[in-house]
Amino acid sequence: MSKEYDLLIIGYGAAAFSAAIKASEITSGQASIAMVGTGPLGGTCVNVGCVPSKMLISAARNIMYMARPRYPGIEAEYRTDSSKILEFIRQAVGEERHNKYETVVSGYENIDLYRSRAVFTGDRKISIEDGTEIFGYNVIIGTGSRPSIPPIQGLKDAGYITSNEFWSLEKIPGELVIIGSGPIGSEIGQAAARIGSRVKIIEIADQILPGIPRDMAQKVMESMVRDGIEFHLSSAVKSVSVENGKKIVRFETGGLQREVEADEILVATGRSPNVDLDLEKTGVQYDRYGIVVDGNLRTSNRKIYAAGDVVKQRFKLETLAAKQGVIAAENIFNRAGIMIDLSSFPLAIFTDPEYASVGYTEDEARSAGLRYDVRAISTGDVAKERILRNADGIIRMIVEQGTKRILGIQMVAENAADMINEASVIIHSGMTVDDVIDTPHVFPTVNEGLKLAAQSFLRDISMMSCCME
Amino acid sequence: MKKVVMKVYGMTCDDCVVTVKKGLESVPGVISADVSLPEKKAEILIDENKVSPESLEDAQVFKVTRYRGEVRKVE
Repeated sequence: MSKEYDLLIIGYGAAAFSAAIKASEITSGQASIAMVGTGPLGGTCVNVGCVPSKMLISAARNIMYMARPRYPGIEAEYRTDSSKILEFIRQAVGEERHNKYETVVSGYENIDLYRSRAVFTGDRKISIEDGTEIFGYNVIIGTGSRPSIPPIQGLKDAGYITSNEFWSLEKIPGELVIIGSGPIGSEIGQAAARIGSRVKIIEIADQILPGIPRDMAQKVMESMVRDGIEFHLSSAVKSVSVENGKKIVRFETGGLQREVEADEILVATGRSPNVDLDLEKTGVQYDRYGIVVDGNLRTSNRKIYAAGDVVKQRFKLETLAAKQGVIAAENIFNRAGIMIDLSSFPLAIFTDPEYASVGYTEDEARSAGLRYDVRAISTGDVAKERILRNADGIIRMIVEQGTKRILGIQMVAENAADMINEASVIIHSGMTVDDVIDTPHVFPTVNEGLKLAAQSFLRDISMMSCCME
Repeated sequence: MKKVVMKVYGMTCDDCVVTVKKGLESVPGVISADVSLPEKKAEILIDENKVSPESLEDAQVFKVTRYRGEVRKVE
């Protein structure tokens, strides 16, 4: 059997859904669309990514407030049952998937859903498992990514989990070794530790969350150490074995051979694009880092676009995938020629404290040869943060010399992931330090930190009263 | 002279057909346009020395209205 569609979307995660919905809107629901994918509908984010992990983090933060109350006069007795937490998360994820994906897609009469692996058999033509051939006049590839597994001796035989399997565990392991301290390893590791797991993280780099500013990574790591996590930085895992029912992870640190034992190993060493689609048959260039696209998300086949984690690009973010899905649909059906500017795309890591960034970091500004000024304030300078007893963070602002245009903002703070949205508006709008200062901010709120960071370019903020404009 | 077949999205009534037809025929180089509501398509005769098939996708009628056009075949 053979079918034709105006738009063939391979994948049914964040990028694919955004593209399908936008394409439907642009064409008044008249574009016939096929979505072809495997696994639970909605892809990584809703099923095994952002949604379950942020629920686990929220549960863990509730525990932290009981374990370490921030005001005197409060004592709490509590028990944790990780099996109930995980069961609740699975149920909640099922509801999210049903409400925001299964129900949504069933409301679009122009979208046909195929639950199957797909491979290209020719130009814009795929074959699915039941033998059906599907041709798309336009194609968007949004197949996402999967955890990458390093070639560690004995790892496969000993067994391990990734962020895909973590959510299926009956309970959180008593002893959990995590290989990799990127966003996934650090977020899940900290939450697991707060829920009661003894967590050890092995990281090959000399700081956690490699790539973020070192002083900010240090703040996050200090907090995670307070949660009981044991770190092994600058350490390369060499082998894994099973002895007496325990998994033994052997690693090398500065020439010394060391080992830790665990009930379970979580591999969190990055993600690889899902490019096993026989892309050669349709003339799409790619490598192990993803599909090559131009600024409009168009691949080397001009009728095929790619969006989300499968794209060869610096970030793998749900927000970015969804945005790129929309842009791909606009560029196909509106011929909009929209370019995406990754340099001003916000990102957040949901550790506690959270890290968030938009625009240039200081290192990036220096490498780019920009003429900039930089100021950093402590969250302890912000009234609301003091009220929340959350003074151990940093807000840094990078500003272009002469124009005072804000080039970048990074922060490590309890609510950094929420605060970065205002920072994103600041960067996207090309606002200056004076623009931010002139914008009234409600007192007392954590977002006043952004205004204070801007004021720090003009005056010594330690000489200001707490709500001075 | 060439015949261009376009898929046209967004048409729901006979007025839409008239709007798309007029819009296409106002493009320099377009000789005639035959627009079908049930088939959601347009068959356009063009003078290829004056207009390229692909540029029809950027016709004003596909930019300032809710209609969108996409070239499917050039004969």
